[in-house]
Amino acid sequence: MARLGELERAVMEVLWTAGRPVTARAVVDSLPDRSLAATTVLTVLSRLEAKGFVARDRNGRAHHYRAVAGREEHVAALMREALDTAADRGAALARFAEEVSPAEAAALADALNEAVRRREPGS
Amino acid sequence: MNVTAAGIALAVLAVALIGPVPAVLSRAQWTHREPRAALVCWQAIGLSGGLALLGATTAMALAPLGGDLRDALFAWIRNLATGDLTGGLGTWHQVLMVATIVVYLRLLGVLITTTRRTWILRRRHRDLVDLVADPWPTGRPGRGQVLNHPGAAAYCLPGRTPRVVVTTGALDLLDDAELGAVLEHEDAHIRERHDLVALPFAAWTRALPWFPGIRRARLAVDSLLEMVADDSAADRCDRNALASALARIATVGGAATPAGAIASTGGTMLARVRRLLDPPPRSRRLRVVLYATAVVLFALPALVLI
Repeated sequence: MARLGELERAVMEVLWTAGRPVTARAVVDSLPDRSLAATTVLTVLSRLEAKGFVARDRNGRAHHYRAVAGREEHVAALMREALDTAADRGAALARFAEEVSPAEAAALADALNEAVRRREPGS
Repeated sequence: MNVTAAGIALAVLAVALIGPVPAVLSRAQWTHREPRAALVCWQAIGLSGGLALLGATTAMALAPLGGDLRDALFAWIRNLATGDLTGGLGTWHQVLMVATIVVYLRLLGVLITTTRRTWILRRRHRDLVDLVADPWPTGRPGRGQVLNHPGAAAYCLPGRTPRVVVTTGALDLLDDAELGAVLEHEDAHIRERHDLVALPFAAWTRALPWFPGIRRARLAVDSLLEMVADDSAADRCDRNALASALARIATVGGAATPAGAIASTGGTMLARVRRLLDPPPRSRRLRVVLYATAVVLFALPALVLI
């Protein structure tokens, strides 16, 4: 499982670096581990496609693979999901801290000073 | 108990548990002293209130059949089984019975769909985190997934294959002790499966959005779960470090994420930080009262069958 995860990351890295649709063959050639079988890479690509991270275009007889979104876009989407309070996110994830209103922020700043003061020994 | 009397008793219980009880309990600051016991109480209110509501309408619908609630229910089923599709009831009582069954199925259905949706959402989020996260920085305590983002945020994806996610913004903002405290807090959520406690309340808020009592229950349960995790973490690390981590992320976190919506937390963040700095005295008596109330609430709807 961990190995498959590593492969997925490596394949995505290749697609992100390429920045354009590439064939599975090109992916195999660009991977740092050159000993990987083409079938393994195809399996990883179809897994990524099933998860919706990779799209496949048919170009004549060849299949071209490309990343659906860049790494930064994915991170931004994750952060939106993680910080989203308006939509009902159910119990999908548990956030450490919620954002607060300006009034609450002022009171929290006081509390923060108090916490920091108590953590400094001998003060 | 006679089926008509049972209907009235259950209706009174349902109205109390859906209206005034959540209104009072959700505002009660003393629940913060014993969050764990208060949570059990909320669960009892939720379960008992739901059973009382469905039991009350069932009893009212079946009242013409006489006997106690069990007799009436068996008589209704017998009537249906022998081909009497009215179940031995008049039109209005039939309508009420069908409505009861619809509400019952809706509650069950929404619980199932919410569980499924949550599961799918979480798995997708986890897959994506595994794909784009950076490794934990060497030299910082703990472990988890790192998202390269200036906003300060930390969260966990609970479940059987849990993940703790921290942004680079949060890593920069927190010192080692604070970071350790955040991780302990998230570990408590994961270890104690707080997501499973929150799930039915989230589901039933969606199923019955027009009951303010249910929404209040959900908000109260969410804050209490945070306090339980705070307490678990405070047992394992410096509680002042947890307090400063909480205050830092809450006040600074939003500044770096303009897209992030401001949450209406109802002062929960401040309450959490304050109770970490000055823990309210724990009360054995309050604990006993809350657990006893929960037991009574769990038992009450069953009493009508006697």
